[in-house]
Amino acid sequence: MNTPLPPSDDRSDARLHAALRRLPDLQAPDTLIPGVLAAIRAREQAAAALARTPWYRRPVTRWPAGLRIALGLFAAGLLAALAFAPELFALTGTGSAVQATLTRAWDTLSALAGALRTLFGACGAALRVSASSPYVLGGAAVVLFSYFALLGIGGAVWRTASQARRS
Amino acid sequence: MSDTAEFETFMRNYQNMVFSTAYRLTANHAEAQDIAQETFLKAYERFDGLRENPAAGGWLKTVATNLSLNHLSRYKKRWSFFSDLRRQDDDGDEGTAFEARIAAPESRESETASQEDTRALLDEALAKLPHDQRAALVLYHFHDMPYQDIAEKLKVSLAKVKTDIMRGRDALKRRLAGRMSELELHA
Repeated sequence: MNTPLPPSDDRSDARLHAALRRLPDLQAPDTLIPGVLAAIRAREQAAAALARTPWYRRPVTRWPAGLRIALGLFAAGLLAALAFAPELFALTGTGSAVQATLTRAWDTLSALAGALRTLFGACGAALRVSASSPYVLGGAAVVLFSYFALLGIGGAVWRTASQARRS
Repeated sequence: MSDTAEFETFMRNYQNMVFSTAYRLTANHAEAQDIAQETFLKAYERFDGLRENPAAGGWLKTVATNLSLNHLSRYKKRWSFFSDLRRQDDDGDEGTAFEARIAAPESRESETASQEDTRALLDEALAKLPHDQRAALVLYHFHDMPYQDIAEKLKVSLAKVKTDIMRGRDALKRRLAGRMSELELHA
């Protein structure tokens, strides 16, 4: 049950409550039912189209259940294999060859990361030098201001347009 | 009768209730229509269980309410700044004109406003409330929800719910000044 209405204005609140409760339902727009039926038809057509699509061209979530289970098992096996790779390599005696391959790959990645670090470092240094210039700071302020101004104008226009669509 | 035809009849029976539920919470015709459409699409997915169910109306109302509140919370996060600006404008211009119409019924062509007029004005006044006040007021008066449940539903404090409902009622009464006696007459 609701908390009783405040005693100070009990009568008018009760009248208002009764009036609100007596408000009849509003008339739904004529386009509501055709819109729902069209959306249902579109969904059914999309489902039919999906059913005609071979499984390997569908999203993974729409694969047959058996295939999804098989994929899950495969992924779990792969993860387990990776987790226990050192032990497997030691058992099969291929540890040193694999280690050499991994070391080469790691070296390549390290070299690439080093080059990127140098590049970004140089860019950062250039920015730090130019940021001290009042022109650059002013330009950045103008860009930032324009961005937020456009965002604001867009929002205001959207709100106004959406209010105008009210019946 | 085919499933689609049966569902169409089902929609015809409930469309006004679902649309009203959404409109009274969102106060926006286009958004209420979108929410009503989404509600019926959800109903279609479980139509087998709903077609003979006497609680179907309650289910539809709950879904429409939840979708409307979700919409309002998303909307609030994105657009509250612009919305508040707009609401202030509304109160300043349209609100004054609206109050003038209510406070001076003799300026209207017909001095004896019909019951439908009063109801339309009440609906209009409700739609002009700020989102927070309207949502709390609608859940309290139309859905019979206790304050605590409203607070949980709207994810706000109990004190805010009470304040919003009180302010909402005061705003409605102000806007319906001169018509309160008519409300009583129609009781």
